[in-house]
Amino acid sequence: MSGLRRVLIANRGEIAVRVIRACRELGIETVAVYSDPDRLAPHVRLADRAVLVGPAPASESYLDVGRLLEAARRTGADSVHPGYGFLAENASFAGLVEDAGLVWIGPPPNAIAAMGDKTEARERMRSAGVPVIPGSEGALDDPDAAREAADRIGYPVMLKAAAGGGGKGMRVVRAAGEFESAFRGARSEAGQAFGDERVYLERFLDAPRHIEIQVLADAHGRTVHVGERECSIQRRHQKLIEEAPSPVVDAELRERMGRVAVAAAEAVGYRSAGTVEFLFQDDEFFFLEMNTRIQVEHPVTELVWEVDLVQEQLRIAGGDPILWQAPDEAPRGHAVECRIGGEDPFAGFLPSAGRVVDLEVPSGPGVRWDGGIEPGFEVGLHYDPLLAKLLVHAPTREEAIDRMARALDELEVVGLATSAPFHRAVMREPDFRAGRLSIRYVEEHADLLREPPNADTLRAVAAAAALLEEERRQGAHPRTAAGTGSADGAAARSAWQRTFDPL
Amino acid sequence: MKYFVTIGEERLEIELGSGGATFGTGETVPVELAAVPGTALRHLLLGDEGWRLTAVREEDGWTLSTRGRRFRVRIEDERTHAIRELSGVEGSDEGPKELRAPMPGLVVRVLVEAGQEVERGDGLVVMEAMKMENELRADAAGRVSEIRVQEGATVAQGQVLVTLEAEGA
Repeated sequence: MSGLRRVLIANRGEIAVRVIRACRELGIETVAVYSDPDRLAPHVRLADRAVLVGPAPASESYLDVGRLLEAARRTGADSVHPGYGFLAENASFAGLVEDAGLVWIGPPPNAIAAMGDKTEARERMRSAGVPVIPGSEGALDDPDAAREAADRIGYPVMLKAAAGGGGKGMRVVRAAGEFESAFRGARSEAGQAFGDERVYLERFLDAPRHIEIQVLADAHGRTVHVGERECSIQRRHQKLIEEAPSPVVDAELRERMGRVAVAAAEAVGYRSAGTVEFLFQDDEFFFLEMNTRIQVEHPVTELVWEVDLVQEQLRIAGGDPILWQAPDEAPRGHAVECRIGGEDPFAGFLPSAGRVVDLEVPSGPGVRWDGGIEPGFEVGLHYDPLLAKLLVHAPTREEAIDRMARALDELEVVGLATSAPFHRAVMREPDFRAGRLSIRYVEEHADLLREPPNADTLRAVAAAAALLEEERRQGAHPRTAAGTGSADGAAARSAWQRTFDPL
Repeated sequence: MKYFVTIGEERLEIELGSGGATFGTGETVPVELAAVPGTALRHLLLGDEGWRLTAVREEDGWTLSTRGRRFRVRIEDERTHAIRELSGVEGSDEGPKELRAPMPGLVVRVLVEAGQEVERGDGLVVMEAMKMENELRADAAGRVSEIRVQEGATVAQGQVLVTLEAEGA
């Protein structure tokens, strides 16, 4: 039994719904917060209490620390769950929550801060024995120094601007002879972009996979790992599809990566649920960063490891030890998640907004829907475009992919474009099905959605359009037909009513 | 009644008669479209072939989706089609084109000037929505006839941003 009594959820959308569900199952009361347009959002209608925290812009509502703390005080909440995004990895908010005498359902503020500073985190990890991508110590003075460092590290390497990111001042070097011009190019580009010519060097991974380890740590000194997730299908560093287990991780590698992840968490005094992210290539893995929060893709782990990660967060925050014990046979089966976003994959993932006119949610064996939308809900442009997560669980990876394809075919979101067609295409794509993945998958499969519609589909769409036009001209009829013996509108209507409307 | 249906770049002719739908190929199939009351969910029977569809009425046609694909569909009857043919404007790819805002948002930059020639795929306007910048491009070559927005303006979904004259028009 958790020590928490009433949790304020400082978030919205599917993750707020997820946290409310976990609280309900543990008998904990919930307080939702909402912005003006979210008055009727699913999380507001599910919670025991709800407090308006401001207008649509997140900076004046979901990110307004003062209003959130006031809402917690007014409703008598004893704890705050931040979800992901918004203030979830804001160490100073976590500190303010604790200063207000509330329980922060997450890691200690100093652990958030330690992992939030990427350079500091890298150093700490190195000294904790966590492998980081090998690189030069500090900036390089000339091409010769760079060449020496590269000989030590191994090719290919990447020159990077010390002062910046975003691709500026970056050069891949594949052989010693390329250094002269690459070094000059990287320096001058860095100078122009950041006013700082210094460059350093790192091993370059051509086609790494993104593999991450879930950890749980309680206040009783127990830190465990809950296996890996593979999240290589990304676009501009945004994950789109995740799965567990990874098709390339066996029990031995899992144990090795798990031990490293536990060491990483312990090195910063971690508590709660967290994720240690790695890049993986050629049987080597390197620390990328640690996410000090519950992650979007946590449910794939839940499905194959028989764990409820959000409930564990609540228990740990309430002072209880981790309840979960690794089942005898785990991971059990295979789980896949597709992030259903309000983005149009046929238009470069352009954000789409609008009212959800209708929604058909997939169901049936092995399907889980973690959603933040409902029919009638207006999807605006103020918040993250994630609408819902569609998950499947099946005995094998192949069956899970087939199940996901089936579930995606059942999904209908009417009123705005979603990323679902992208997911459908991936589920049928041979490299994905064979587990040949890397974080460059999406750019290497840019033609995924280029396949033109087949003749049968065009025929059906044209027939439907003609019947709709007929229907519109004749006034609204629930059924329009031609050649089925009820082509006449009135006859069609009475046939419909006979079948479906006893009144 | 005979209809001319445009689905993306495809054009289909279809005639609804007492025997069903007759396609350009001459084949006739009984058809029936039923609606789940109060929703956009439809079910089409094309002969005995079942199609789950959703249909939303738009200003100039329909948005239909089925089996994971969305289609913008324009449709006209024979008479309208004939009048338009006679008026010398062939097809819908000619004549003035309008670039409309695909979503509500902020106009960050206007990349063209009135009178400028553009190629298909050239950027016209950059809009910001959900904190992401999105470049809106010309879907056909032509000349910019009018700029209807200013940088910094907030625009509604569907609002006309730029009008283009097709090449040679």
